[in-house]
Amino acid sequence: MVTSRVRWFVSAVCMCAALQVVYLSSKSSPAQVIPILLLVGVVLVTENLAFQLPIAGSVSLSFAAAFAAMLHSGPIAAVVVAIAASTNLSEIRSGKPLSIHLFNVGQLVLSIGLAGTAYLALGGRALVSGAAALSDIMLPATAAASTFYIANVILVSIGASLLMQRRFLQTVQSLGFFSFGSSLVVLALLGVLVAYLLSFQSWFGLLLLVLPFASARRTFRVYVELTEAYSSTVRSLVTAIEAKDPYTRGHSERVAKYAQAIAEHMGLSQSDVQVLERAALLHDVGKIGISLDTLVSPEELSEDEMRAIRRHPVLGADLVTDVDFLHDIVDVVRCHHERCDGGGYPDGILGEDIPLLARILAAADSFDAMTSDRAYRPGMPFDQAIGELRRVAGKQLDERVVAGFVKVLSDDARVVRAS
Amino acid sequence: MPYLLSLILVGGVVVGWVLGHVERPPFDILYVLGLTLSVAIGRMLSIQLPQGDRVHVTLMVGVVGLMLRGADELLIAFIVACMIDVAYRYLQGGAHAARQGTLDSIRSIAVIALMSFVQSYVNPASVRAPEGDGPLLSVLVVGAVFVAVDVLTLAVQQWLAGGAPIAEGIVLLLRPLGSVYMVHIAMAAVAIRVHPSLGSWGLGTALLLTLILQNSFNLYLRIRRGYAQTIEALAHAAELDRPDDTGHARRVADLAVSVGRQMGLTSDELEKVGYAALLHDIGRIGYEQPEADIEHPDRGAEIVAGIPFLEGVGPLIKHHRSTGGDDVSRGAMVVGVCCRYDRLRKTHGARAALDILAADEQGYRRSVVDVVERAAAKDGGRLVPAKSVS
Repeated sequence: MVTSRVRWFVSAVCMCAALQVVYLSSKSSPAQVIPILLLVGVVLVTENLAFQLPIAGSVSLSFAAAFAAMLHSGPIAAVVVAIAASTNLSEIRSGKPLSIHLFNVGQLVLSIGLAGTAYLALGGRALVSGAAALSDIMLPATAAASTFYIANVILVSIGASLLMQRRFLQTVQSLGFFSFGSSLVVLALLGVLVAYLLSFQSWFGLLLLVLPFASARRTFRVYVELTEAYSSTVRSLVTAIEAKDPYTRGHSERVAKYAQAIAEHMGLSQSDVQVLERAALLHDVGKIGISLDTLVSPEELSEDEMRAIRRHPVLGADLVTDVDFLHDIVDVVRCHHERCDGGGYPDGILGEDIPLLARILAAADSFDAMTSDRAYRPGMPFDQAIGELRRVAGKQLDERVVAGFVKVLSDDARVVRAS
Repeated sequence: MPYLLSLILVGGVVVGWVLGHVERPPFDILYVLGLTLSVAIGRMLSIQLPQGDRVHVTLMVGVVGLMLRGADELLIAFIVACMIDVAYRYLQGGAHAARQGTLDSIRSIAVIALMSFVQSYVNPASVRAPEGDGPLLSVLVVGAVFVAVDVLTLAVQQWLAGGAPIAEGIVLLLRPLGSVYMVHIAMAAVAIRVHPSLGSWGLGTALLLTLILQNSFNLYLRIRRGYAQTIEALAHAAELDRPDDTGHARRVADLAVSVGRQMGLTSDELEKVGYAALLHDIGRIGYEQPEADIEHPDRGAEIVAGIPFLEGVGPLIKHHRSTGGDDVSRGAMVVGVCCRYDRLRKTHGARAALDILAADEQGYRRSVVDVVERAAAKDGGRLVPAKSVS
């Protein structure tokens, strides 16, 4: 939300940026036009393509270009490149408030300006004014990159915390500045290479350096999209496969939601939660071979039918065992019908021997089975099902998991709504 | 273990021999250590190809080393790095992994030895004191030769291990690895260009950037592989419902891809044909005949419509039963004919199935039947696709 405090802050940042530019222009060295135009061209292209680096976090390539401009032609050139980078078309068309655009431009100019000041203060000089050995610019360049990082982190954190009305430290943590830092190191190194190629006037070399990054960027974007879509892909295919039994339609998806909520409540890691989600989506995939009559039969099952049902966790685990991405879920799927008292199937293992994720999945699975309708009985009301969970805790289900689940069910309206 | 020992022995002899013959300038131990480390890292960051083989690309280090200092030190660095790599694989995966690693190490070392002939054509002066874009062109040429030697030896190695014929192997390697090779050549050129001013810092930076770029391609290949395996597993799961159909989707996919290749479909189309064939019956689940027979193509297309990875596969599923029309692609008809063939083969036998199809189908579908017949005939009269795993 753009409050008056945000406006004050944005104005202050822009004023400081302007002062910075005036100060730097008094110390500027003669500049060549062509290299700066080239870098502006590079950032205009890459910024409008929103570059992401294949290490954690996403940083635009524009820092590398601005850094190269600073090393090659001095801080004013860097400011020009930074302004070109921050005025990108898709951002402007996105209809964000003017103050946010101003802030983006202002903070980038101020950060790169401060970096340039640090560079000059430590005796760094522009490569355009004569060849410099790496050892001469090493210290000032490192200081400049660090200055940029610190200034950028502070300005963005203040801006974001004012905008989202959150605490400063909380914002710093949530924005993932460590991965930002590692990307920045790589981009600074890229900037050094670009600056030297510019000073050699090796235009072809510059092209050879920029092209791989452009093509890697495209591949990496597809990778990110596919990674994000993986769970939903599994979900739509599983939904289709489950369609045969009207009574379990949507079961896997609901179980996934319960299981995820329990795991998050128990403080499991992000990757465990993801494994659990996938396991929950696929936990009944081995049931597909069982005939519909067996699954929805209101009568007592025959021994053969019982054996068929008891085989589904193993069958499901076998189905996914060859999939690299689903390697971690094999045991979870296999053990989701084990009981803590050892009376479950297929292996009859006890308590802690059952993987924790499988114990969570078992609780979520039982709860959804109790609360949804079957051919031969209507679903239980929630309160009654919670009572049932408590009753079997320590026998069928894990006590700690049930305690967490009951807490989640009573606290979290989101989970209840999922049903 | 014997492989590791023999590699150490042979490696030691070669290192000794090279050291005895190295011409001046004297050998720079730090430089060799740096090279060794780079090669070892490059070998450990292997790339998994769609067909499952792991390969590694150390082209950037190879080209840079070759052009800056020549083949002698490079050869030593490669041998030592290969020994480290084989030992690492032995610790990780036992004797089998070590054997694979040894075979591949011998290939890598042979590539460098072959490349040392090319080195004599490089003008060292232009590399050491470059002007403008001076050395870049020769780097590109050396890089291209390097790629050719690397891919050729790799294809031969895979062929000897029972893989695809060499010509096909080269295509299968170049499609996923082309971009990685290009990154390596480009970064080698940059590294050599900045080397006179930036020295080993420049080389290190270029190597780091190369590995990061390569990693993005690697991640991309890995996720595609993950999707392919997942779709295959779920297509298999979908068939559990209809025991009569077990293996049908897989057989149709194998046949359709090989028929489609002979019909001149592009590799993009072939990939879509493969997925469409695997999933062409997914819309049947939960519906009774004959409703399922009529509606499953539309339903199947709807199911995959929202999946980004399967973009373009939906229409193939939707139209696999169509006999013609403007929006029916060639791929859809290939899937449709192969599906009919597989079903008829099961009930009537292969010969009768082909006769029925030949009498029944028209237009493009008829020409697909001809290709199926040829493929089946080539199959030694079994008239069953060779790769099928039913």
